[in-house]
Amino acid sequence: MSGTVGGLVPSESEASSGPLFYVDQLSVTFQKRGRLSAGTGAVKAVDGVSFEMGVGECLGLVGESGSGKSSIARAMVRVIPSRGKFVFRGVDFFGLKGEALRVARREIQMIFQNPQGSLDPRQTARQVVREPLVEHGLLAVGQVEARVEELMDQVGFNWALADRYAHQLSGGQCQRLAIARSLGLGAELLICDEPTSALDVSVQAQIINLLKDLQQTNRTSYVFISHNLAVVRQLATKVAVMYRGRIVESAPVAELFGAPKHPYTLELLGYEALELTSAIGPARPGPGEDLTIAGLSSSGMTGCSFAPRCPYAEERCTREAPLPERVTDLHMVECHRWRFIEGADRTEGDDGAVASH
Amino acid sequence: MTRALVHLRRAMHWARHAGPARLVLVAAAILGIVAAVRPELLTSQDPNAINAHAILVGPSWSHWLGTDEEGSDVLARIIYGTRLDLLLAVGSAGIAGLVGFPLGALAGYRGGVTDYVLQSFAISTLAFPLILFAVLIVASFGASLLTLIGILAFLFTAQVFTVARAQAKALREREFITAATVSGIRTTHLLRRHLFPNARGPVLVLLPQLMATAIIAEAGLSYLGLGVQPPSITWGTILEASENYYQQQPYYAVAAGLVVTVSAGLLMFAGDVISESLDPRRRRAAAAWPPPRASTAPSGARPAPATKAAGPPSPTSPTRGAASLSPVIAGPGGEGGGSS
Repeated sequence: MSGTVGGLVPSESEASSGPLFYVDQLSVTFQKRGRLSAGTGAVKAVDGVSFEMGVGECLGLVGESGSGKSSIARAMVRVIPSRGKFVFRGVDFFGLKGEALRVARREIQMIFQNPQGSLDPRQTARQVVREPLVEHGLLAVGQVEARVEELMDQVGFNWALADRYAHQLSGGQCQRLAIARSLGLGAELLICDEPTSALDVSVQAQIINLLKDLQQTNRTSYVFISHNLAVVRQLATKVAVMYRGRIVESAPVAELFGAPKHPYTLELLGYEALELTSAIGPARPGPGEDLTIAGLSSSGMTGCSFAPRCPYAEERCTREAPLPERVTDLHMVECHRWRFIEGADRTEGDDGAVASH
Repeated sequence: MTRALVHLRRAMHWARHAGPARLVLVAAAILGIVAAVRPELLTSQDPNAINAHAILVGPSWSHWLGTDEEGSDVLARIIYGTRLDLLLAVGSAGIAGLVGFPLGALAGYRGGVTDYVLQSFAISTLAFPLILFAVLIVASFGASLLTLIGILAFLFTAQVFTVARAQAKALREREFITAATVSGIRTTHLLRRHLFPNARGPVLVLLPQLMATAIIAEAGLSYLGLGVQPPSITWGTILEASENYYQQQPYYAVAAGLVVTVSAGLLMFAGDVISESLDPRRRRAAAAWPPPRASTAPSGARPAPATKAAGPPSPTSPTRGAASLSPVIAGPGGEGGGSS
């Protein structure tokens, strides 16, 4: 589909500290296969995605359900198989094995969407935070308890609840615990897979503020996955918009929200503007559009995957897949037509979204 | 002396809060164990005594459930029969648990070819009728307690394997298992600390039910003459012997049948109670074993240092003066509180 090289989104702080990591041509393919039936095809959830990030940066990954955001997260922490390259601080993370992998995992931690689900129902809050500390032998035995309490303090976890189980805690407290667990390992990169979408709005803000604080105090970097653009706007330093396993547009946060180029980004932003008050769900499917994963069998597809939904599509879009093009140094877009819809500002985006209803 | 008193007090505390179901089960378990280990404590009669003057007589003060065709006391025979039945039940279910659970949990977690082969094997084992299988094995190896334990353990292992595998397979997709992997927990620790404890619930429900099945199967197989052979006493052999005499001495057959039914029923029921005690989400605080010592402070009431006073008042210590007057929304951890 594309033979492009990595580094599509050059880091802003490249000059100062160099990239923390880069991901090159990451692909995740799910086999649709039963036990007894032979291979019946594959679904490309992530299709050759590349990006890189510097220390203390936050990459917002946005897109509708099924666009491959979570697959990227899971592939990066190596809980699902993938192809491609993930080089973290000069080390090929995908190439690590056994004990080396286990030790390297400390650096790259993940926060999950369902706060309660990411905690063992049989562990108390204290045990949750303690376990990785002990497992990695980071501290002398006598210091562990003090460190656990320090971490709980740092994330604002309520002391009195330290001996409770996950099901006895609120979602916000659970998410704080999960963050404390990652902090204990001294993670440099925190991959957050919709960390706030299961929480109340007021608690969402608290968690976002906590992540923001850590970004400043610990220089933690984030890959922040969300379909809530308002949250991404708050936290991210740059944003990548995903559609059907591809990054269709990426840019520093101000530029992406200020001067979006890709028609899908326009649609997302317009949709966001319309639905700002309600919780933002997956983008509405276009007419006759199949958004389920089964509809993603892209093997036989030619042309731009967004073309069937695109109000700006022309004949060429259905025939030929667009290649990444640079709008500015840091702004990449994958669209044949971006030059012609360049004038599109926020209001026009809204119109486009409404018109394609 | 005082230690014994403390234990007694704790036991009484537990008994007061356990509820009738647990009390009945514990009493039945104690009775069963005593009958198996020291049957002479429960009856003064000799189960094998032959008495030509009291053949198939009904209940009396000396023979509470009457006598059998040889004049032996039926109650004594039932009590002495407990030992082999319990051995069979615990042995077969125990082996099944020890072999089937780790194997199933590991297969379900790992997946792959080994899982596929083991699962296919387990399914085909379960598809085979128990009685037919037992006849085949007994015909080849002879009828004995060990053969019986072997047959049942083999079949039960397949059942435990299937349940444990399904649990592990479902758990593997859960985020806390992923989270443990991501935080670099060693696989052995992940299995022992996260997977096995969370997968064992349904197996613990199953094991007493398998013990019940073992007792029923023993009765059935002994009835066919495939079980334990005389002069060994089991409930099944008593039941088999009683069938010809149920008109002369109905208590003989009814008692033997009832004891099989009741113990099987209690075991079935025990599984759920056990799983309830082990799962923190379903545990009723007072009925957990071991019971909390009266002297220890309730857990969670960790006295917060003065510097932490900014947080919301602890729900477990509502008597902290001014703090308890302030609304719960105060403080940085404002969303605080538990949902329970």
